[in-house]
Amino acid sequence: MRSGATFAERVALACLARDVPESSLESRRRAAEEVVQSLTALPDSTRAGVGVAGVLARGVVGRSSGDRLVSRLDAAPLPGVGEYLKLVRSLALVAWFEDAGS
Amino acid sequence: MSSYDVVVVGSGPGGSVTARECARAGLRVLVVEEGERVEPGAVPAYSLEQMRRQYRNQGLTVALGRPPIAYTEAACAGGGSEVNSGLYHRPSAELLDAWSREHAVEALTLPDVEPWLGTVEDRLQVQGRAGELPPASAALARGAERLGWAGLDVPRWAVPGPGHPEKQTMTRTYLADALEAGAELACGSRVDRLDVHDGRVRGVVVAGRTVTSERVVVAAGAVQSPALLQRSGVPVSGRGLAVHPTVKVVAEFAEDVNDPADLATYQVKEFAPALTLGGSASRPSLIALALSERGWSVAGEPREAWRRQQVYYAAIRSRGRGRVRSVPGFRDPVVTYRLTREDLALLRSGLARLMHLLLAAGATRLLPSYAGAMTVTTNADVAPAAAAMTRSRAALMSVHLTGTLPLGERRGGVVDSWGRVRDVTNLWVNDASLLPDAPGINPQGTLMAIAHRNVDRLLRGDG
Repeated sequence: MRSGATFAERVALACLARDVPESSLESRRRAAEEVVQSLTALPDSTRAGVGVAGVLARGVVGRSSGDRLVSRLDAAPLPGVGEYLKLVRSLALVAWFEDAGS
Repeated sequence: MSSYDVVVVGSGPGGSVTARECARAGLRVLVVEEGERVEPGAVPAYSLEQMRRQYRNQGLTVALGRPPIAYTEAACAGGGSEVNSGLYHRPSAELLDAWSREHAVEALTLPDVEPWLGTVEDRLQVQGRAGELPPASAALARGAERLGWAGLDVPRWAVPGPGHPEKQTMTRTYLADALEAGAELACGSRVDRLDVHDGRVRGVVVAGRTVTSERVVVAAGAVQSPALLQRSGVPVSGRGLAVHPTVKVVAEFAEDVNDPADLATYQVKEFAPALTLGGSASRPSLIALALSERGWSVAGEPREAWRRQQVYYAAIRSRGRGRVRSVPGFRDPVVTYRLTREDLALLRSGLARLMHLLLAAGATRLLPSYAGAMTVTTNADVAPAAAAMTRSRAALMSVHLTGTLPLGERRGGVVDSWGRVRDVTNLWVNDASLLPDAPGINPQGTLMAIAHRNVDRLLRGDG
């Protein structure tokens, strides 16, 4: 799960940099860690599906980061990749607003 | 844990009613609860911390389908009563008559259930609000009045408290009563399966050890109860899952409306029971979530805008149905739901009505929560915005789950009119699984009255 977790953190950090650009890197990192924790809490079947989508998403983005990473995921025609981005972004936003934004 | 007269699986409203009545009848009762015990008020309402500590899978559960429907189940002592809105409705005579007729249920008319409704209302101190409506509710009431639509500030099982009403949750009422009467509560204990042999249940298996019991009552909710029966070899299809599919809108007003610690209790009932319009929890994080679902950037939003924003919903009674399936090797069941074409049309209609209502209430901007949704500022925007919510764009959720083990005498039904499992003589179900359909109202009051009715029968030995 570690490489998957690292990738989810990467995606979460990229989403937050775009959505809350005024936020500190530290607050974004904390939120990204929360995302990883949330993903491990998913029901078995959902977690399995998200894991597969994460592998596909990793293939789509390669080594890109930041805005480019988000744009590539957003535009990817592969099934599940858009949903993966949506899930990680939602979790990241909730975690960031709960932690730093409230 | 050793041997008991009754083991109750789950400590939500159905389980707590069962435990209290059995303990008061002098039986040795054990309540097995998978979640932890969190004292009311110990975590902020509707917060991420609450999701982590009091919801199953941290609230990240979804019924697969097109579209998928996010749903939540509590997993804590007191179950859903600890985390829900505390709104109380009596079921209508028409609803109970329809269930009685369609599912051949004995003794489920309003006169049959009324005494139990009274018992529940007394213990939970159900009462209406004294004083003015808070801004988020007042907006709904204002919009309804201007459109000539019927609505009401829904009574709550809550008493006035410092700041916010103090909900009379199960840990404060029925579960507390059960413990006072001698019942034991084992939190953090998951029932792996029931020990069923030759048409009788001998007990429950927790962490590989069997706790023996004369009777077992399963009250783990409309998803977990059928899943547990399936894991135990009881023939249960898991079909019939009924929910209230719900679509949301973020409404922005010129003035502050948002109370992050509470939600709007006013509901518009002009189109009930098919459609109910109301208000949702609206912490800043939940507003961000609603906005992200439409693929909309939150970057340009003033950070304090949430004070003027509030999440509202349109919830429907659905013709669609879902299924719960326990899969070997997986801890959690797979849940699916099929939304019908009529459901989608009703949701679009509900979304449109909700937006008209909010504009009439004075909202300056509406942000429907579905992928790619347009911003709505005038009534002319409403129809195209509602029509654009297709299956692939919809972002739906539900919190009321029922219907997987409907009571009644219909051929092939798993349980009888009183919740007793037909194929296992000393096994009962007593939770929202028994409600044949999602009722179009907050169902806790209905299910608690039915739970009272059933456990009364169980204790009289007629079940």
